[in-house]
Amino acid sequence: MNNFKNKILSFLDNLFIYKETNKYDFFLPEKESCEVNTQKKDEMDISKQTDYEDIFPNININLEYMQIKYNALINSDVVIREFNLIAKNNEYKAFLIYLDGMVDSNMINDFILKPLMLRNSANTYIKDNQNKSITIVKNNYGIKKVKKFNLEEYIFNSLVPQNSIKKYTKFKDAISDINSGNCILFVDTISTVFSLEVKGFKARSIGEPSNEIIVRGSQEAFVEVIRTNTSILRRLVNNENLIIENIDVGKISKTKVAVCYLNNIANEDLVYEVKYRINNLDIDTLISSGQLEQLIQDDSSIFPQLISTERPDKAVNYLFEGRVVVIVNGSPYILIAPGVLVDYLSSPEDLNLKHQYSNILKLIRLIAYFFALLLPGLYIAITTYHQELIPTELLLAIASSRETVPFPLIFEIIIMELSFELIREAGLRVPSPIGPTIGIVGALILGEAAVSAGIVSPILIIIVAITGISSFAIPDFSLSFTLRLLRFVFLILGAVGGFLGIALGIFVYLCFISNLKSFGVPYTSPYIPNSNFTNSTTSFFTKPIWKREKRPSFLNPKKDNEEGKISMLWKKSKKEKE
Amino acid sequence: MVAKKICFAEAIALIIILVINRIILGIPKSLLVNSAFSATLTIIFVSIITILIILFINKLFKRFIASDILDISEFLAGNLLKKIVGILYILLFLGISILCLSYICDVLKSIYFEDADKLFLALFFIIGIVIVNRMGFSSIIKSNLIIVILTTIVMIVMFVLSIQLFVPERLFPLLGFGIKENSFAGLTDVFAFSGLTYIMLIFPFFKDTQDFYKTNIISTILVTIYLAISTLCLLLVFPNSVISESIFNMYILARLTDLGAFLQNTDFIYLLFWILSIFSYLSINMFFITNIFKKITNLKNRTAVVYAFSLIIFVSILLINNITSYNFLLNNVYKYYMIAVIVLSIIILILANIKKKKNSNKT
Repeated sequence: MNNFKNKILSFLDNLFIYKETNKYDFFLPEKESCEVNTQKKDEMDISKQTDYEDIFPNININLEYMQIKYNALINSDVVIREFNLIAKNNEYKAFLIYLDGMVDSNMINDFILKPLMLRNSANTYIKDNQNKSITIVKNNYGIKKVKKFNLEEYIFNSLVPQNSIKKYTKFKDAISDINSGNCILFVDTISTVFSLEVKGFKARSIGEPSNEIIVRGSQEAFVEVIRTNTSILRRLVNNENLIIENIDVGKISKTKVAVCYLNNIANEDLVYEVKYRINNLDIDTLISSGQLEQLIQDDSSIFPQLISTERPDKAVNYLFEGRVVVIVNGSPYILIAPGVLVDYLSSPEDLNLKHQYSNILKLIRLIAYFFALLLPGLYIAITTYHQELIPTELLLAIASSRETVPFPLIFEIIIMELSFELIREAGLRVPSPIGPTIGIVGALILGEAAVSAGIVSPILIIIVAITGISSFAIPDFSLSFTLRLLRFVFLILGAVGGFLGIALGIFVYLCFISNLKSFGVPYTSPYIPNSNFTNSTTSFFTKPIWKREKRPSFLNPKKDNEEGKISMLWKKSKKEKE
Repeated sequence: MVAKKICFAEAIALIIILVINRIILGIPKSLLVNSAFSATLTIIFVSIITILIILFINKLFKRFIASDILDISEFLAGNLLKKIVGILYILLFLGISILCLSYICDVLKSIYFEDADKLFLALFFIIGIVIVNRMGFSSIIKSNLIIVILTTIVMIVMFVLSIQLFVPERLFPLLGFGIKENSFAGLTDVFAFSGLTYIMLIFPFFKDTQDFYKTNIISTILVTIYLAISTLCLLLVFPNSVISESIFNMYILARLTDLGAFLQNTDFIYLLFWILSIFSYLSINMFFITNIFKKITNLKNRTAVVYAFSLIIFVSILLINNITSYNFLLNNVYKYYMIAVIVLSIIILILANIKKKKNSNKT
């Protein structure tokens, strides 16, 4: 009894007595301060101050430059292997640079490191007449010249048994090859590097996406291995500014989590916030990205706040916008932060289709969104309280179809909704060969039998079917789940208060989503608060590809423009170009 | 982005939601009963006066950046005046909330819920107000912007659809009952621009202080357009006698418009959005009531008093028995009370400006 009394008192305390809340509240800073930070960082950043073009003969300078360029201290998949190269029995300092996951390690070991490092007949062989002097007669004088040993030619011709090898003298060529999966060999005393083709990433055999299927676009999906996933991102981004930082999460499991972002685009505060949250988790184990999502999201509400995807192309699109990708080892679903409401209504296919097609699809999805949320609630509100709104013929049809049904409408509709959820859940759990059977049993036999038995009315079957189909049209699984749950709330509100109840639900719903934030970004962005969405890549309606000039301003990216003012330069006449 | 700060669009929506509710709840009617086409002229006349008042208020606020009328009152005559002004504003917002809630419950009861109790209907609004006010100001303001945009679209559609019902002869007599009546009697219609009361309180919430001055002007112009169009629509569709006798003119206008054979009854769409806008309006009022109360009593947090004020509103609607009482209170009590509060606020602003000028001269 005392316990019950205490519980009531504590409930009343919580309800009426003000307590200082320690709610963690993160905001992305204003644009101005962000710009100042970026400017300061640029001043400090050596790589931006000195963007070298030509390769130096001094290996230490080359090494330092490449370390800065690739952020080697924090980038987990950038490998720099320093060693001593033997040529003509002399030792030269050298290093190899490559991206782990994109190269074949065996090829590097057997065909690059072994021939260069280990003493063998090729690298220790000294020809007798190697340094033989030759005499050139000029103006009746004999000049004695010693033929120098050419290390560059020697390595190229004699030491590296590779079928595809290129020589570069510019850093940008070398960096481009590293990004595409080659290994670059730097050797002391020469200002040329060797690009060795040792590509070893897994390509098409990775597997198709099973839940995010599209018609036009990439057909590969992430896998459970973190390094394979990072290599997929590397291959698609193909830029040295992609940073992949590894963090171990879980005191027992020490699960590898990779935080990926584009160094020159993503907002620094956003990146720090993601890393801060992941670094400050006091847990024993982490098994999947779903668990991590719940641990790092802003609010524990039912709305999804991080985008979850199995599609690399979708992840890369978001990376280029300035968002942060989080990969968890052992999970084929990666997380993208932050996520705003319009993201959950977008499909990766939207960007591949012409904007007219994708906008029609988006409009259909928007209608599906409202049907999935409100249709059963509106049906019950109209048929219970506002019958005069329905045209007379339709009203008579509804009344006659409900004539034989012995239950109140709310009971009838809850039975049908629950049955539908049961069929859906059973369809997911049963082995795939008998999956269609569940559909047939559920849709045809149960529906038909329920109508014949007079348990439900045929019009209600149509309402529940439209609602169910609409919830399948939502591209994001988590948002679809949210709508499924909220549908029941609207159902009850519609039954209790008709339109008044529905309006109450919509009002609270709007306030709730307006209050939500994902990593400091308002959930209703880019519309409320009003960001620049007219030329932005993130807005509900897709712009023509030539008009997607700006990155979403709500992310405060370091680079605002994604494309030039005129992206299709070929359309300009030659005169205009000049 | 700083919490609890509002941007330009959100501030304009905050002022507009007031007038949307006024339109729904019958301001055009009260403007129209005395005159014919001159009602529209009266609105334009009153709006010019309001813009002049706004320009004057803007000038007065230049010396008090990011302060509201309570801070200015405190500066002028200490804590006592601050408390008096605070209580006057609380009574103002409480009064309009009670009137508004009572009216919409009566209307809903007569249209859709004949068997339901008025308190039962009011309970929905009260629940909404309490939940949303616990979420915070930012969520109310952002959702208000969404609601204002949606309601504006819906009302524009309604006005466009009502064009087919216009009877141009109803424009006459063009000057109503004469210029004198329109200009002097119409002056009291300045209460249609009740956004002035919000203007006195919203300055501290602006991200950019310059937006405050712009918001005041632009929102008044938008309110004028809104009021003028809605009044004109009612005027051209209904005879004067119908307007003066019916209780919910906008709803009747909504019922008359249709979109072909299937969508004969589109009024439920309008009603749904109007209810949403009333939810939003009441929630904003509740925010200001509790915020003022917090300021004058030095409370740590305002959410605890939301329950108390919601309960007061909930119980007080029983005092208004019917729509006739509502009309009486609105036109004979509230209207003059609001004008008095605005006039008092302007006087405080003028005196505070003089005091500040003297202080700066001394230093």
